[in-house]
Amino acid sequence: MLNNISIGQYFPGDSIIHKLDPRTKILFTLMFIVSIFISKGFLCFFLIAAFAYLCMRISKISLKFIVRGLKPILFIVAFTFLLNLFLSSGDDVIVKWGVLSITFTGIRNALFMAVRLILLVTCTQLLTLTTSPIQLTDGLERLFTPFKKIGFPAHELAMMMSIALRFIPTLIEETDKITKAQKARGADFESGGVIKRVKAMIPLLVPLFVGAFRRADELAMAMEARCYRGGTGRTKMRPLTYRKADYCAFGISFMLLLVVIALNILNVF
Amino acid sequence: MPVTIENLAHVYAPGTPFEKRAIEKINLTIKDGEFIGLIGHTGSGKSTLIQHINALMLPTEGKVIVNGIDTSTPKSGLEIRKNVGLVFQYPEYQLFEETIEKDVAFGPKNLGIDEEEIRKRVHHALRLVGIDEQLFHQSPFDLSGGQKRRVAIAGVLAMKPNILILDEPSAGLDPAGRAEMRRLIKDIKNEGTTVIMVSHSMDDVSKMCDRIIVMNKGRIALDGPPCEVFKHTELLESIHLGVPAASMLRERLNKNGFDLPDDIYTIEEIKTAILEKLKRR
Repeated sequence: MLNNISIGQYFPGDSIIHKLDPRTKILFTLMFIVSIFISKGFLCFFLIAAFAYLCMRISKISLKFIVRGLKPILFIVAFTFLLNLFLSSGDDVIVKWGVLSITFTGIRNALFMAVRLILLVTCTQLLTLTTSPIQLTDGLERLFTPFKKIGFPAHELAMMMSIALRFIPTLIEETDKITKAQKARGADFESGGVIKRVKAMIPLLVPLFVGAFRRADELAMAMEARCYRGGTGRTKMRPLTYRKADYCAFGISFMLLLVVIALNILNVF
Repeated sequence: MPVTIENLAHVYAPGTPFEKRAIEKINLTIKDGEFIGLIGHTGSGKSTLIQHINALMLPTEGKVIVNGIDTSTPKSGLEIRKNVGLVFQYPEYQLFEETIEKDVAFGPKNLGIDEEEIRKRVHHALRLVGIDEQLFHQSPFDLSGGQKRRVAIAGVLAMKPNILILDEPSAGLDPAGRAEMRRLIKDIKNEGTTVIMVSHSMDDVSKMCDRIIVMNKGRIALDGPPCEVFKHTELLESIHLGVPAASMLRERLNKNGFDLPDDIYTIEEIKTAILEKLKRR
């Protein structure tokens, strides 16, 4: 039951996009997001969507994965859609019930917001689907390195992230195990009202936390035993380097951003 | 409280690329009062099998019938778990209550038993596993590893199961802890409980159990009393299980000219047999 959760759902592959430097991909995604936010019309969205689709095809990720990843935000999309649909002000009223009214502006706004949200998640998904969590944290660490000068703990943050990611499957497995052990003792996680269900979680959560702390302790000890003392002076086995493909990707994403800006200035919707 | 398993098969993640047939064609009858040792390699399907007996897992194919109740009957889980206690590997990690007494009472409470009876059961179970009365109101997290494990086992015993399944009860314990665990399991058995013990240790199993089930690749490879099972030294070695040290000695001696009977497997029996042979020479 818990095996269906996909966090950092990396989809291994060897496409050009998979092989790009993680920093490139992070910046690329950032450009994507900026483009989405400054877009004022559906034409820009169409352009971005087409571009995202192209990236998806190049990286050989099936649409199914993307759609599955959209499921968790479906509720938020529906919520913003309805909110915008009913609460937008405008003169072009179509239907009206008391305070609620549907206007053409409302419909347009609702659709616009929904598409924006879906595009945002799709683009970030392209990043997480093509980049392994390790690469991702590596990339982030390097990107944040310049900020170390003003005291930003880039290495520590990256290390924390990779440890957290590393332990997600372990914790899921542990949860499964403890759930079973307590079920064997007659625990009932599935029936009863909200309060009863929350209370039923105690026998699961306490051992889980105790276990997590124990693991953290052990890991800290193991890291110290291998002379870990933070990022200073630490070298990498595979240092990140930009290659030709990375520069091309930068160029392409920058062009996309420029085109979106141009479309906005020209007011072409 | 007999258990009948008919043609049991379990498939993990059916219909996906990760599909895995964990156990297949398991047919088994467990009678009252038996002490069964379940051995097999990692991934041989032992854990999957035992979780079926207590309805934590439901069969993909076939049937598991505990005391006349089919485990796949809806809502039968609690009724079955009342009868079949399952102690997982490293059970000490399931403790959660403020005091030892409360933790052991968790199981019986879930069964809806009245306070007085719960108290009696908890005290009986804790005494059985050798936890001192002074400790009853302490936090289970302050105990030593071995003690924690015994408290966890008491938590299952307090449910008064007719069948107790233990998954590697002595894993990770020191020799003294192992000896104590063996004694405890024998005590539990002597109270009339059917015991199924999953183990890697051939020596433990050969010393304690009166029936041994060997699993290999999701199927039952051997099933019988120890003296029968340990005759098959070659088969056991081919599935990387090894045999008790004494059986090994018997096998080697026989290869080199002795003809000791092949249904003996304890060091004492072998000693007597060798002495007898030597006397006759």
